Amino acid sequence: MGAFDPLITYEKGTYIETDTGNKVSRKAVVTGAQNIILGGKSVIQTGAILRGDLQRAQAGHHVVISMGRYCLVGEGTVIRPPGKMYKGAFTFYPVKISDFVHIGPNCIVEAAQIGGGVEIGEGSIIFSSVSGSSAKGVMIRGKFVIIKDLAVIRPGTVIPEATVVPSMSIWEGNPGRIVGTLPETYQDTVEARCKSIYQRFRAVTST
Amino acid sequence: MSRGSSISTKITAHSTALIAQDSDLRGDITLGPGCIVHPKAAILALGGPIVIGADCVVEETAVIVNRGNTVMRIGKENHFMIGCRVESPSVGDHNAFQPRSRASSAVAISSHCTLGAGTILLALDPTLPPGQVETIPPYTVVYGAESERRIWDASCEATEMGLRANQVSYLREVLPK
Repeated sequence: MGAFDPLITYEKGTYIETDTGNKVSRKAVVTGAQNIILGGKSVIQTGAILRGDLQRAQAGHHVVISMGRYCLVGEGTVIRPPGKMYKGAFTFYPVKISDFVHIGPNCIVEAAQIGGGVEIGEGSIIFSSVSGSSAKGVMIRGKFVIIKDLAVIRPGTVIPEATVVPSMSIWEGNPGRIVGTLPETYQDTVEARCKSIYQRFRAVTST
Repeated sequence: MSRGSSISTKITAHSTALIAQDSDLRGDITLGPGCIVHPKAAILALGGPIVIGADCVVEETAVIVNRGNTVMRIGKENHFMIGCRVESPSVGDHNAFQPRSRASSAVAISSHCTLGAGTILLALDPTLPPGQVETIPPYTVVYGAESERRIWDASCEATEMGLRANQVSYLREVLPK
């Protein structure tokens, strides 16, 4: 995280840069862009899929995916809103992602809420199924995964539906379990790292 | 895939099936009434044709492949969730393939089965000669890091099916046409 970390470069023109400093790959699939809010200085990498078109049934505008500042969505990651039955009708519920959230490549995220400073490792599945029974054959429904501030989800973790991930915890495995806790200084570390990643993410012109 | 271009694509879809523009359909594919194919999903009939029954949902980055020469039959109301990969020669009705689950070509899936998130379904007998398939009994649930199997007692089945039917009809309403 020092000043001499290598740049993360991309070909100029392959990313769209917005006024608020978001960098969205042209090869990311962003459906229903009018329902997605990016806080600024966030990076959406190549091949990511953001489903903003899966919205509530009521007429009008609904925010489907809201994301804070200094977030990173890795390559091939899918973010889609969770859905459930409510009063006899099926609806999708919005995904709220706070600041400094780092989602690694090839993750599947159907969480309802992700707190600030959360790191999700490569290939993790944050899964709130609307259908399908859990491992015991008992169905758990109507509650979605909530990840509180400053949690670390290790690569390849599967977090089943209705899990609440507490602050300062480290999760691993299928199904995910707590394997450790984080030091109190972690917040400063993660914020510095997320800012550093954004600052090092630069365009280069190929020669 | 380099072979893709050499395969002639023939898609027969029912008029009520919804296929997203970004999806990747190759080969001889038949889609039943009410099927929904999300963007970036792939249905690849590289060998024989694929026939999909009514009200199936194929989500983002799910892959359904038929490499064999025979017809791959998929029943009705199956749910292929994000990133799953299915190569089974036949799939019954009402199955759920949860995110990033994989079913090999050595297993035929009957009905009401659930493949949990991140699991791999292979034949129990690793010495099974090629061309032979093991049929997975109905109501099997594959779960956990070791992809173990057990039988679902079918509790809450009616609610489950109702939920799925509701979701499909809602998707049909909400997805841009």
